[in-house]
Amino acid sequence: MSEPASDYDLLVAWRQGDPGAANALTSRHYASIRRFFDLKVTHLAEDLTQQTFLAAVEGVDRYRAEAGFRAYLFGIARNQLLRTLRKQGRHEQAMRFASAAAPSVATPLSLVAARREEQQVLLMALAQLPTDLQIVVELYYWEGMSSAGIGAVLETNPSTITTRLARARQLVQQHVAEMTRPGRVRDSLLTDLEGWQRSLGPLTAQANARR
Amino acid sequence: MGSEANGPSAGGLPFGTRMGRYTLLRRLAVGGMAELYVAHQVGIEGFEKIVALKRVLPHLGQDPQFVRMFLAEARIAAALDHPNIAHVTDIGESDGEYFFAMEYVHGANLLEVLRHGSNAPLPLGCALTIVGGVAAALHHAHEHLGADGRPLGLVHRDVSPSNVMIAHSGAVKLTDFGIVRAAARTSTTQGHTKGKAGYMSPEQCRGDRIDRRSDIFALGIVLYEATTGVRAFYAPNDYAILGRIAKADYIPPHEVVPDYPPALAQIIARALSKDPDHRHPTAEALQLELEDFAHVHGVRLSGVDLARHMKAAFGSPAHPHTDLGSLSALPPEPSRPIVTAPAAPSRLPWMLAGFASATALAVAVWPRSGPAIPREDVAGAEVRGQASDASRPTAVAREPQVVHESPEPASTVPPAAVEPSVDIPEADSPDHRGETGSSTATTETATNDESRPSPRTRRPSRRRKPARTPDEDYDRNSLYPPGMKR
Repeated sequence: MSEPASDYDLLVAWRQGDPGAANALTSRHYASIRRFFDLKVTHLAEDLTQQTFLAAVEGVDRYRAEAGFRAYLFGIARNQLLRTLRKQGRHEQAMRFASAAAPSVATPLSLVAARREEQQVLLMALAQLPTDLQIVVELYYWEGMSSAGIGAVLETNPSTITTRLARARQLVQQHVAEMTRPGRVRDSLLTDLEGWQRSLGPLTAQANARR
Repeated sequence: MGSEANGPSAGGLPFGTRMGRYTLLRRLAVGGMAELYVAHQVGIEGFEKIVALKRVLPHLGQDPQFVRMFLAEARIAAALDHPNIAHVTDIGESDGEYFFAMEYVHGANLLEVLRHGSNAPLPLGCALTIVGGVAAALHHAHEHLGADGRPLGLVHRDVSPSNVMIAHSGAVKLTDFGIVRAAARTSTTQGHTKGKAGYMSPEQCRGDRIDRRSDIFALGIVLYEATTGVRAFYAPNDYAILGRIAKADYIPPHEVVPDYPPALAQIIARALSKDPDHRHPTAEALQLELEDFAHVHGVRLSGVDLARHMKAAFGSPAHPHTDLGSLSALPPEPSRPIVTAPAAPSRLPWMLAGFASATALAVAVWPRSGPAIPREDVAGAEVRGQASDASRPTAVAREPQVVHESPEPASTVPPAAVEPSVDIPEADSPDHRGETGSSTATTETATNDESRPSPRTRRPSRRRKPARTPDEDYDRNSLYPPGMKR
């Protein structure tokens, strides 16, 4: 049996026009990139996921092996996200006043991740975090990435990531307290916040795998 | 609209399709689970009525759980008799497909009304008349008793602008009890957060147990939006919206509308309390507060004013009964067996023109526009039995055979028994164009009989307006927001 091709090899093959490589690479990482966007810009998640892969192919020359392929991919995803949020920010006022369109909750996350009240509340709390803190939490708990890897995505050093992670935990606790009433759900979440955070990883991956 | 991407059923069932005692005129909207049509019911002695007909989408018709939910909606809504609730009048099954008929509200939903005004706040009297009407409807539902005389604890769970219909006459109707649930049976562990993200209550967002006060929160959101013209809870993504709702984090109305009445802001603040215990205990209490506010501040609550506002916004659109001339050839007796659509040209091909070839269109419309069975052949037949094969997806593959079996579907319809008595200047221009413009595709599918065109193809041509966009057309009578796929 031959070793499966590395992400980088697939990326290069894709760049050279190999559709099989494109399929293989997107199959490996689609769910992760998709959920990265789902919680932040739900309605644009599909488009941004595609754009991220295309940008990864186009920018293959900038790939740095030491940071790892996922850091490279999430770094691109983050840039796509920030660019989108900047655009939205410029139009925030217009968007708010322009539409009372009925929103949808038929996101992959909403279909699966609300199995437990704790998970539902936690997703809502995460969505309240500033973008970079949200990214830190997701990459750490859902993707299992190291501080160094996350630092590469956010273009900062690992110690900063550790600090941000602590800050994110604190804010999530605060949001959970604001969103819940005293009782079982709040107690359960605050007692084992890390465990609940990790529980969302497989769930959100499963949500996208169903698509 | 995104519906064109929905495949063969994007245009819905063709004009003239029979479902039970009803003849479909056109599709108003399609959601993820059901379609809504405007339909025509005929009875003895010239009785006829326009209704809205809701039909389970075919792919869900085989899902017993969904069908149970759908029928439960119909039963609950049928039991609610209130002037501010769109009545469900009938429930039926045709060829294995479930549907129910309800009062047709000739008007627009509140979302369309707000959009039409470029999201400017409604005149205060109109906004309070609407919200007061919905509050009355909700209170009636909340107080509804079961057969044992005890309250059922019904909760609508989807109170939002798109589910509030404003008739051109000024009447206000709450619709869509699709996810209404008796509070006692509400499950929070099924993995589905139902409702629209921007119109849930904090407890609904959390997946917590809910009661009537959840609807009061949602009605508070509707009141906010009707009186400010903007979303109470807005964020770039759904979970951020839910999070804001869970914290009851909204911009105070006076920051949106500088001269917003403080007393009204207080009513909103109470309705939008994070803690249900701090909200109005009943929808009636909210309604009374609104009426007191209106009285004190000299705001007139008037259906007439609302009707005038609607007329100023939308003009006087033709009622669907003006479509009835097109149904000239259909049998009037309600006891007649249900017949599949005559070989009338479908509206679907017109809607899909440019998206598919004539052949593809023929397949797309096959299940309903296929072989009409001669009336005499089916007289006395059971509802269930008629044309069942033709209505199933497998019928597509069988198309050629069935066509040969029934070569003269147009003959089922007496030619030009009744010509349209009302000239229709503008209603449904896409659809009406479809009646002629799409005739080729449909005829290929269903008749192959060039010598005997459908009576509808012989109708005198109507005056036509320039092409209108789906949104423009939709704005006229839809029960659902344009955001829904049609």
